[in-house]
Amino acid sequence: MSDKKIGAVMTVGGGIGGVQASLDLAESGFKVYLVEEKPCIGGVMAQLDKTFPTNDCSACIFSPKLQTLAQNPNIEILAYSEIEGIEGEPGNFTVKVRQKARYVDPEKCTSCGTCAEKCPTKVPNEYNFGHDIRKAIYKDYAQGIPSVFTIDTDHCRLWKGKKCGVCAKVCPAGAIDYEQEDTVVDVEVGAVLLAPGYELFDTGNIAEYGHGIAPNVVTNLEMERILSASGPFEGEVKRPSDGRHPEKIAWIQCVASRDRRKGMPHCSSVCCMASIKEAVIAREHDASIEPTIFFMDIRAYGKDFDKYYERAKGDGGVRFIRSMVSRVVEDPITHDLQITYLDENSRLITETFDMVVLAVGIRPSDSAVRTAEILGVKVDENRFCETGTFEPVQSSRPGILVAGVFQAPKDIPQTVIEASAASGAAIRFLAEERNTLTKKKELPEEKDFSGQEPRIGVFVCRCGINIASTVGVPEVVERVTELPGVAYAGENLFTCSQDAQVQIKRVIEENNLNRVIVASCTPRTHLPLFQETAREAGLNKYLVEMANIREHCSWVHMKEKEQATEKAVDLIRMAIARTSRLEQVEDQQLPMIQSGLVIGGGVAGMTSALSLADQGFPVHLLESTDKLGGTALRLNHTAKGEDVPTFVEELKKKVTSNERITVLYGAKIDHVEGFIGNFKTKVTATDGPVEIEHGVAVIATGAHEWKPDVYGYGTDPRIRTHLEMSEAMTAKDPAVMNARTTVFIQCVGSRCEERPWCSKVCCNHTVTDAIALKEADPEAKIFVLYRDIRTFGLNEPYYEKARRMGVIFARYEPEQPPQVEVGDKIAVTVKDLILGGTMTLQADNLVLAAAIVPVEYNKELGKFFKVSINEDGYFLEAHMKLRPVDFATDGVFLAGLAHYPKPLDETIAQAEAAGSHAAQVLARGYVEAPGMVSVVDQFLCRGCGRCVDVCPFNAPELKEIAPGVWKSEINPALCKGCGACGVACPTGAAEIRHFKDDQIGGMIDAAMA
Amino acid sequence: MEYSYYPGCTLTGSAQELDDSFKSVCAKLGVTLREIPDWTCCGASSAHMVDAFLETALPAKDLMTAERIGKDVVAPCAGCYVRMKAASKRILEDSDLQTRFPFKGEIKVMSGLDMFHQDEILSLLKKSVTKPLEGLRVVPYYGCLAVRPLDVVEPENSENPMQMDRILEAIGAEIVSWPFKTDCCGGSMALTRTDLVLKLSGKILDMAGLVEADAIVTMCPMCQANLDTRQADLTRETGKVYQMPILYVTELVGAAFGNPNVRHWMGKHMVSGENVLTRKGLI
Repeated sequence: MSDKKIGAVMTVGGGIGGVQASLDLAESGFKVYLVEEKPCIGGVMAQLDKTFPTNDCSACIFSPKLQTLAQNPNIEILAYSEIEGIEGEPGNFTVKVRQKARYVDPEKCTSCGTCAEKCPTKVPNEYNFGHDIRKAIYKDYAQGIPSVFTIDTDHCRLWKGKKCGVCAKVCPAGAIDYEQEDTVVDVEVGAVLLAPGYELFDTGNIAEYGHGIAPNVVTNLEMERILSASGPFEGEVKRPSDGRHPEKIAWIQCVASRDRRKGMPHCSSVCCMASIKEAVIAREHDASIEPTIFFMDIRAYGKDFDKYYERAKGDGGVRFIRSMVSRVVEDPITHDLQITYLDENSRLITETFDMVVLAVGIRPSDSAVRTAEILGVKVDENRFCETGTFEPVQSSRPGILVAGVFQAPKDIPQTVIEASAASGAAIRFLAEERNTLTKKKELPEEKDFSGQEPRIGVFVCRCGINIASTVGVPEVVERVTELPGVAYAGENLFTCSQDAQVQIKRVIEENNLNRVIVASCTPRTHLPLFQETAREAGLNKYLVEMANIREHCSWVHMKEKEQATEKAVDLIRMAIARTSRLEQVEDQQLPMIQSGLVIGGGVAGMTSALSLADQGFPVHLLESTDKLGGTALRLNHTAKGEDVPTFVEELKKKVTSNERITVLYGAKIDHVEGFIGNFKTKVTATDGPVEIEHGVAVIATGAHEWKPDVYGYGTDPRIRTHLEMSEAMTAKDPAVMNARTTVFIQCVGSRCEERPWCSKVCCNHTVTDAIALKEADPEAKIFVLYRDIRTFGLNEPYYEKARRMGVIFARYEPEQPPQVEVGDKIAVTVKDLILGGTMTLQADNLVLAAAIVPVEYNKELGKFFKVSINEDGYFLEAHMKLRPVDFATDGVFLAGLAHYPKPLDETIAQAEAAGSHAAQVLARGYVEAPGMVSVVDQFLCRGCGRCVDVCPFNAPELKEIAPGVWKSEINPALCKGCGACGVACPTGAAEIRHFKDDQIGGMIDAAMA
Repeated sequence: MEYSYYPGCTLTGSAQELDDSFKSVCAKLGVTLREIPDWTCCGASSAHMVDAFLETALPAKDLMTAERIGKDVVAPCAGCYVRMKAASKRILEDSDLQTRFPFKGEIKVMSGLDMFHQDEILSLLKKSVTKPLEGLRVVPYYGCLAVRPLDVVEPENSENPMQMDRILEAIGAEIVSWPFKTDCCGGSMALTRTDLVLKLSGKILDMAGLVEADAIVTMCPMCQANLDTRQADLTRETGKVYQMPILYVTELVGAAFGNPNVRHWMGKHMVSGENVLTRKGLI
């Protein structure tokens, strides 16, 4: 066996986790093989309608990522494939992969869809859970990648021994191959990254709710498809039995979650928010809908989740009923559904609904478990991959990493974080093999069109029905064709799909186009994709323009179809006016200082610093106090029983002994200047002031525990916060360990007006402490007073364990909080909501689950690095779903509690992800800066210096070119292209490339014409 | 095929038509039933509620006899079935009980539905149909004891059992989907809380009426008796006429086999199924 490591990684699973990991790995110089069992990648995220808490359209934010992946020459997609074996060792694995026969040649298939159109066999479409039909030759969704059709041999007439062969006859590309066979390939990789995602628990085993029997009972994933514009009902909310618009819809939470009897003892983590979102969106689709959510605890534990929940309760018009529904009874004639529940006064109420949505529990699929078994990776009793808190993305087998729901139930951002963390771990391990197996994308030379008449191609997108149901797309195409400069106009079902990219390139070449307009959605998500496509056809990327006829037109003018069509034409005419004046612009490559700065010496900061250092980059680590460790220094042990102090000590040792890491204690930032690749940060530290030059920065400043001013805190030493309790437990303080009665109060200062967020860790913290106290003394009485118990994911079994051990959980309403009276004992009086009476607990100790609050310093730091803080005081990431460790400002990254309260494993994962993303930037070695910068026409400039005054980035500089003659010159590296100088300039000398006066003026003229 | 047959008290008393139809259907299928010699009470209704030892001891004797004979036991009465199965499980789990009752678990305890639902018998049954029950709208009613207690019965699907559906399908009846397959008929409250029983039985009968079923089909003699005998009371109380035949699945299988005794069995019910079967041309 050779010691040689291989600079390639296999990612398993084509959902958001696998896609993110593949992109990170390929960007970092590693060859990627992405294995997906289904015919197309995309996973569950591609099936979702909207995403919480921002209500972003899931497919819209995801599909650009899918296209970027498809266009990356270093990612090989092995779809419709499964893993059959593995040999070798970490760094040098050989994985056997079976690619199933599709009976369609992917090289030839152009995804035109003629085969499916003509195929005579109709099959319930499992992608839409049988609510519509597809053919026996199919592609799950239009933007699916790889863009190839597949024959479903379970239903194809030929495989049933009947005569057919229609698809082969009609295929214009001759791509159908009935003789195709499975191929088995051996793939050599240095590491494997598992992100196989999840499936819903089989509802056949939960017949009490009637799913599969009563047509109007659907799962929450079915509801996603029903709400989706590309779903079976094209976004119209209909009930399956009769197509009628439902008015009363009930959501039932925790169906096969938190239910050991069903073999699902965990909390599925995402359903509370998913259901609230579906309820809100359903009402947005149809205001007559009255949503009701039946729940046990609402687990809105993530960033901005509680605000979303509160909004849904208020303006959202969603009714919440805290009652676990035991069954759904269908009226066999009307197909209406009866639910009997207990109201807050313990009365049995029976209510009839038009539709019921089941929030069905999630878990890894059978095939994921099989793959894990083949790979020799251990899964726990509930099928999730075994990991430790301190190595959250490391499976039981070295060299095999894990991310996403296979690790534990979680939402999209946490999956994305883990995907980046796991790829970071793979990269650290294979760092020396970077760029050994990758190739640069071969691009044709950019054609020079200067001086030529514009030949514009206009691609008008139907966006399924998103645009086409409002805007008359064929009419738009017809009218646009007539306009001057337009050499081609045509429409696409989804212009962002892979086959559309092939078509765009072909059209550019065939029509010798020198400009491209895509009339579809927002350039913020899709422009880079079309630029890339045009570039592949030899066009400079600045010759591509978009007209947003969706957000700016079809979505806002749904009821005014004619005017919408008119407006779409206007928007395109404006785009044509601008596009015909566009010029080629060159991007610039700026030098990069290949080192990092990490701010915050807690677990997050130390982990990010190590991630960067292990990838070969020097790091300065700033710690404001005199010791590393942060809040983790005050923790005792994790729910799994791992010892936190030992872990922190080891981490500190690794950091301080790493020669690439320089730790500055007592550090405070005085000034930051520069931008990605070239930051200069002035710091005052214990050892004096320093100026640090760095290419990237990671912000990991953590958060604090709130000092309560309620429940008698501060008046008696027996009243402690969580962290104080942990310290007392670490010290084995007999006053704590031998207490007869301990009371915990949850949500102390969280989920209130001043701090409207859930502090996320407190429920788990309390449960962990309660178990430890019970283990120390089974006779001890322990009470937990709570609002909702939020032991999300795999923490739920600990909540169950605590209850089995005799810990008593009693709920209180925020309007009637517990009353604390300090005397001989600490008397805690609370209204018992089950028995209705008031109970007073005589406690020896009272523990307050105090809120986690952001660091005051964040505001100052945010200004230094030009990054945003949200209204709560936490840092605001670039995108709440898909870019959870990046900032909108390039080169600055985010990890740990500075982002939002979170437990240790999530902190570590996010810190590894931030470190990995930061290293990705550094490894490139240069900064790609857009060419859209300001230039000063030296002839027109009169050296007045107004541009210097207004520029926030210090880009312009006055230079004396001859005695007494001053001219402004712009440093393109500093210019952000904001245009302030152009506005201030009295002579019109300063102008932004790509946004020149005549380019904008032309648009305005076209709009007014 | 041969089974040890445990009729229990019900099949020798109030549910003779179940006993008779069960046996004659089996005879037609070539299934030999051999009654357990000198069988004792299974302990249902009272013994298991008051005496934990008696609960096991009563069925233990019959289980040991059956084991000596060496054939699986079929107990058509749902009550007997659950008692015998529970006892067999308890003996096997408890070494003290096993010393006392040396039952080794070499034979299985089956319900009537279990027996008919076996692939071999089901296909035999399908082949033996001479008069498919076309046009007869039935709702399968399993009651509680066919699926509960879960850890004793270990049903394939406790909320939506399908065994009887498949048997009825095999004899060509039209199965009407309805939500009360396993709802409580109130049987165990028959003597103590008649008001509750009327409410629960009424709900089931109403639903069967709503879906325009010709009959409710069951395998449990308690459910049959309860639903059948309460209809007069319900009619008196509500003023609404209740006339829903509650038939045993084996009676319908007999009808599909062209058994001449069907009319005789129908005569044993309070609400006879004779009219509806005649109207549909099935007898």
